[in-house]
Amino acid sequence: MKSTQQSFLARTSVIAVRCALAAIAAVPAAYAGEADDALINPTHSIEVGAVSVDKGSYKFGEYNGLEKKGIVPNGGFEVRGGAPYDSDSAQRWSVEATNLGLRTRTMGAEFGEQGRFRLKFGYDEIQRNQYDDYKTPYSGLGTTTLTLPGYPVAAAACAAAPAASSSRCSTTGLANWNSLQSPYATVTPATGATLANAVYAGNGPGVLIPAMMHGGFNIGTLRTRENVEISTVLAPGWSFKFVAKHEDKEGTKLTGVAPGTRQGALVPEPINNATNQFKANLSFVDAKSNIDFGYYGSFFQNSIKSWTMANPFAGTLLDPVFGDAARMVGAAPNQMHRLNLTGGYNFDKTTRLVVSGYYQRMTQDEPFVGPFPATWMVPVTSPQTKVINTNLNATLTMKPLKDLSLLAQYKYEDRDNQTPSHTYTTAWADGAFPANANTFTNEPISRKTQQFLLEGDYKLTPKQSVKLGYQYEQIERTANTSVSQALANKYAAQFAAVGASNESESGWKSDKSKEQTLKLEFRSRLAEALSGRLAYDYSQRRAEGYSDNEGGAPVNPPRSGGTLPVGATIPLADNIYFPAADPVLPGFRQFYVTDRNRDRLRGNLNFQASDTLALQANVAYNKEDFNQSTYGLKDTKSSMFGLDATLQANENLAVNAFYSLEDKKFDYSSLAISRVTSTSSTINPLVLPHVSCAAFLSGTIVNATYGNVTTYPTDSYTDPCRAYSMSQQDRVNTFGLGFKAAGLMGGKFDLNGDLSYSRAKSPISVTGGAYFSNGVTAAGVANTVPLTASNMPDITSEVTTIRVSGKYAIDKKSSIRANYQYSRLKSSDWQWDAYNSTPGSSLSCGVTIPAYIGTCMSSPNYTVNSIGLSYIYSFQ
Amino acid sequence: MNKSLQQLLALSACILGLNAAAPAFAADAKTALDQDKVCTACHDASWDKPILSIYQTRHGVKGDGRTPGCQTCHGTSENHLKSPSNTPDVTFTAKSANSAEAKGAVCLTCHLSGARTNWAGSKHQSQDVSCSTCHTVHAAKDKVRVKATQTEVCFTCHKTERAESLRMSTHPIAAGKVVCSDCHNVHGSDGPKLMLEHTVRDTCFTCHAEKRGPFLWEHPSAMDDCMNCHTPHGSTNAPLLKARSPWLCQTCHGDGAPHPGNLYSAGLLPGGNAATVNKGGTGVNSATNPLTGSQMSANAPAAQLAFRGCTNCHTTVHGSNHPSGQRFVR
Repeated sequence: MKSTQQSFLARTSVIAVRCALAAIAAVPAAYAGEADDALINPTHSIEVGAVSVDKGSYKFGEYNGLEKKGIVPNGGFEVRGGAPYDSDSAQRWSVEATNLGLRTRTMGAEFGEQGRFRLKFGYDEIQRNQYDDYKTPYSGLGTTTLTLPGYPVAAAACAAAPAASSSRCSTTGLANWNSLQSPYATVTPATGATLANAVYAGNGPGVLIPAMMHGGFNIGTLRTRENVEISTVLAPGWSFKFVAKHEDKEGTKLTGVAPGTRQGALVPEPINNATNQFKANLSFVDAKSNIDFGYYGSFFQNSIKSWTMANPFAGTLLDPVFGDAARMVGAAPNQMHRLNLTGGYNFDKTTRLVVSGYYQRMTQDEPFVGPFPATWMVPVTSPQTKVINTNLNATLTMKPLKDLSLLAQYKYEDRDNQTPSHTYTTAWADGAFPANANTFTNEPISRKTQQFLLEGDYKLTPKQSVKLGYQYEQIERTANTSVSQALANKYAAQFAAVGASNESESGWKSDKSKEQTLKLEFRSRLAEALSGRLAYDYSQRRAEGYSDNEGGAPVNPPRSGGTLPVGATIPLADNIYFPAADPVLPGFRQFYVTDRNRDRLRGNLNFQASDTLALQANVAYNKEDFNQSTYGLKDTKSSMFGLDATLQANENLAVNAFYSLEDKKFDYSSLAISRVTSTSSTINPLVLPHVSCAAFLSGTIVNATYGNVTTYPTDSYTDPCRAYSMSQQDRVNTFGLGFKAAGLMGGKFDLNGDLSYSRAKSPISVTGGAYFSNGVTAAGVANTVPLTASNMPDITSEVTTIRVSGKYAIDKKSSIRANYQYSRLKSSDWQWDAYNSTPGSSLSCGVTIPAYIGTCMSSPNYTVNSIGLSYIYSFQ
Repeated sequence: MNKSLQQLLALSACILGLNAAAPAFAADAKTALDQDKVCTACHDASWDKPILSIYQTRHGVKGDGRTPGCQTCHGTSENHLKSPSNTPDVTFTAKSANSAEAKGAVCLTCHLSGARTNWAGSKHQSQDVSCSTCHTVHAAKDKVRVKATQTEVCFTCHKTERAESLRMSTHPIAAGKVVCSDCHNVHGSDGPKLMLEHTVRDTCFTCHAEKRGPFLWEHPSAMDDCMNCHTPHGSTNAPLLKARSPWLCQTCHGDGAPHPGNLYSAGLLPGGNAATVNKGGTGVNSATNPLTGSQMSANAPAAQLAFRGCTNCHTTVHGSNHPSGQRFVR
């Protein structure tokens, strides 16, 4: 404690105080002294400076606007004015801005008369740099029309390409992009069997596009936000508040496009949308009650109705109406209107009831972006989606005993999807019709939640409390399947003839779930300097009516105008493609709607080791057990341990440090069933050795060729060679150290600094195995081989940041602020790195996935130093 | 100035017009300050804590008759006046003898409505968090109410979130663009986890309105809860995903053939055993790519593993309004 306080404490004479009180009226007010101006009157400031960055890095500048190498002028200001605090007027205003030189700038202004009205204006920019190493052969990047360059390849690109590519440039007549795939279409092995799948659409362009043809393009967005807030007091107790927010979002994001079939490319999707939000609230408050009636509207508009990507793949993949370009649509405009009412009433000093509810209407009715092929059957011109949400909450808190607090709460939410149901016959991914035709009926899904919570908190002693709670939650999930079921009912006899159910499945796998949670918490001040908290929750969720998958081969109608097994011809418009048309795995359960037991433990311990040193330890443990899931997500576990230390050495120096370790893991198991069921086959004479599944599973033989007909299971669902399990883990160590030192150099210099380091490692282990094609299709030979699974390479990242900031006061009005930041990211991620070939190779982009055009991107790494220097002029 | 901004300003002017008849809370600033002198006579500019800087805040506007004085919050503190060694009736420091409930009650005298309507029984209230745990009302700038510094206050207790915010994939938390109060109403809420809106989804839609729909083809898990797939404070899996695709998607879709239920392991990475099973050396005659000279594989490395995983093709996973969008490819 500083001497000023000690001296004050020394003056503990009652007489002295009384004398002082008596003298108050006679002396100038303490608040009015000249020396106090800096305290009692706002200080204005103008800051002008620059930031220097030594290396350009999009990821470093992801959100901070410092992605470019070089010096950027920057600055800000804050000016506040209006009536002084001791005036009878309550009018005040302020204008402020920060980061004016960066794409992260903010500005704000406020004017008001306290107790009467307030007007606020705000402007904000949020930059998101996503990727700067994206490469693509497409032109028109950032626009709504992505086209491919013409052929033959430009001479310059050919000259720089290696021999293999160069030969394509000059000779074999690459008249268009489709021709790029011709090599795969002409290959025949020298001896023996032919290769399965050697000729199929999409098997090639990524392999052969010379890197020289790939241009770079930065992917990212910029949000600009303006908001206005007006609040006014209408009468004592009554107030009105209006908030309007407008946001524009422009730029690009990386979007996958599949033209016609299972292949595609990642390309920049143009973004140009706006969101307007309005809130208006009329409120009343008095000593016992408060009530608030409000409206909230949200309006999303999108200038990008559709955009196209030229099809780079061979074959007649797209319906001619699309002109050989996949047509994507932008996010559809939507509207939301909400009326809400909230009220609170204090029955007495400790008993309070709060009731709130709203009615919300959400719609989306943007016309479909055509034209569509004449063969498509689209019954309406717009989706006509409408959802009505109703919500009710009631919370009663009371204190029936001095040491007992009770809470009872009820929550109700009903999401009623009133979208009309129609049957749409279209083609998958704009593909050729009827080859890719699908008939689907939209089945609007709804959800109703009710939750009841009862909690009691009892003070065992003045320093110890225990809390018990019970929560019950019920979720009902429904879907409108009337149209799809009516369609299926037309063919009830045909379904029955093959022993199949014609019950239409909804998007929900479970109709209802009930979850009960018990909560227990203990808080204690174990000693004057030691306090802690330990909380444990146990939840049990049970799903009702879970629609378990049935095994067996698919028996639903064929997909394109075919016939049922019993011979009835199905019109295309009735060609229902049920979700179970492909084989599905019995025993598999979706984690979010199935049974679950959950344990949650939280604890912390706070120790005030001395007047200046505080220590804190935290633990958290979560476990979810999906006990009814034979396959699927089996369990999740996470734990966290943290240590914190804070040293307040004196009024001017504080140091803190922390460490945390977080470990998350989820376990998953499944059977790799496929359309190709395990059927008997003869031994492949070309492949040796021949081994059994048992030998494969024993581990003595790995990645074997499977050819032993006697042990080749005919049932995919019991074949142990298809079983596998996967666990995904995140193990993250985080360390931090910081200090704040004020009043250095005779009170002229403040210095702050902090270091943070986070190291994450995400191993993904996969055990078991599955069958894969060996590409041989000669008659009478096996073409599937069981292969052991192998672990994915670890995904790692290290994020290190060191920041030091100092402010030196030259005089009362002038100061200099300097900031230094060292930032380093080191990451390794196979999801990008494994698909990027040797640097320098002209085939470096997308060499590895024939059916998908690569992006040349790799996991981000950077080491960036930045220095900021600014001059601050302060005045009053 | 764009059109929408002009509209907003025009609307503001109209609403301000409504205020013409609004009453002011008349006050006698001098009288109010004279009452404060009982305290400020000693707690003057020499005091370590910036006591007097409260006059820069809304609590110091004496022209508003509702503005509290020192004794409004700290009590008349007669014992303290008699002997400074006695603490005031109500103090708000961490070591205060006053309970969190007592401290909070002082603030709630005026601040019970609005965002604090649900304070009673809220998570923070029941954990003995009081207003002064987070707010510093005497300071000219309350750290927790300034976006750039808010997380410093919240992370004092929320250590897991602090650690998560330092990962590769985050909201712009460190940049001060999205902070705790953008999603949470820390004073109590109807929603789970002190959400600003009534549900997690409604909260997310305040910034991600394009994902609100409603969609013609809804993705049930996304409609159910954003947190089925996402984690909000930071992740090792961009964009803020709980796990990696394709396995994240397989937790719901791993039951179907063909590719949703396939086994994805390093064997399907370029050079993996599955991707090269029919290349030379395994006994199968392989074809050779005439351009690259490399042996071909019928099992291409899986596109479902690369880049964005399943969303390489199923790009509209939050829902689709395209007539052929049932599988979220359009």
